[in-house]
Amino acid sequence: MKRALALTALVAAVVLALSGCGRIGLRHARVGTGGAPAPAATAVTTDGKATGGQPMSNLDSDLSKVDQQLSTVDSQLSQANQSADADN
Amino acid sequence: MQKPIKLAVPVLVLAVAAAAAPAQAAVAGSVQATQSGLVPAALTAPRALTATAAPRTLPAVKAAAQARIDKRLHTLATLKTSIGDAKNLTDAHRTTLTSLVDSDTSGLTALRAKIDGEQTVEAVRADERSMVVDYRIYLLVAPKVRFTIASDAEAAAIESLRGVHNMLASAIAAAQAKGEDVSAEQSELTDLQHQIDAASAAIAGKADGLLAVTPSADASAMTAAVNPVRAAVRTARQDLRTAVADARQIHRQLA
Repeated sequence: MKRALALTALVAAVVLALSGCGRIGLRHARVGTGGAPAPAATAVTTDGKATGGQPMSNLDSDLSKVDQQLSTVDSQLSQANQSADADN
Repeated sequence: MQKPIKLAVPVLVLAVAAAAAPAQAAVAGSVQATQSGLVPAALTAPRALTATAAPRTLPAVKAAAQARIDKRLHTLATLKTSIGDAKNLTDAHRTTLTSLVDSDTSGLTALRAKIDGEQTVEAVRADERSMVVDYRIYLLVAPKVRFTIASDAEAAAIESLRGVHNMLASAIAAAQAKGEDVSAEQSELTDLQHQIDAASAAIAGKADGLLAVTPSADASAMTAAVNPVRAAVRTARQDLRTAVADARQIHRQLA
């Protein structure tokens, strides 16, 4: 009886794992036919969103970088206005 | 009952006259004191004093001119620091701007020494004119530095956003492949691309065009060269902010 329960639990765990409950990992694309190399694995985020090889976690850092670059623009525009007030 | 009223009228007239008398005396006294020179001129004619008269003696003319040069040298030092701190300047722009600031610093320093040795007010005035029209530190050099740094920062932001666009495009395609409705995300992605392209078009060639302008006596020509670049940098900034908002919106919707 104990062995049967343990086996059932093991099978359940394997099924859950394979069904995608663990969303972090690599989901391999379909293997090509005719001897062609298989397409590269597609990264999948914790949300299960494929990103074409680029992890979506980079998106936040990239947007933060853009924010900083736009802050530089703000600063330079502001200082250009101050110069415009001086005699020419 | 009528007597108190008749009495009250003259009393009231007297009171008003008494109250007015000190004020009149004060005005009269002020006029007399001013005429006699006892009241400081600053109190009686503030406008005459606040208007800065041009210095007339040679030492004063030299000091005023050198003070104006010192302000420009200070501005150039600030610009050089900004160039050094700018992370997104291209190598070519960094070289051009550094060379410009160094050259102007050297030239104005030499002009300052020249002024020191001038023997006439007219010669110093000519040096002052050179200080303005041969350098155009405020009207041209500062905008060159500021807008080139800004434009290159925007160019870097455009590159970053192209990468963001590609990431989001892949994510949308993956979601679509799973049967999700991604029409809203695709529409926002189209706008994101449009904003990136608009920003790129706005600043294309603007910094290089401005860097090619040389100082001259024609101040309006300087302004005409600078203003479109300022407008382009502002336009691109707005486009890029919209692009960032689009990207964040798509990211939220996909999450």
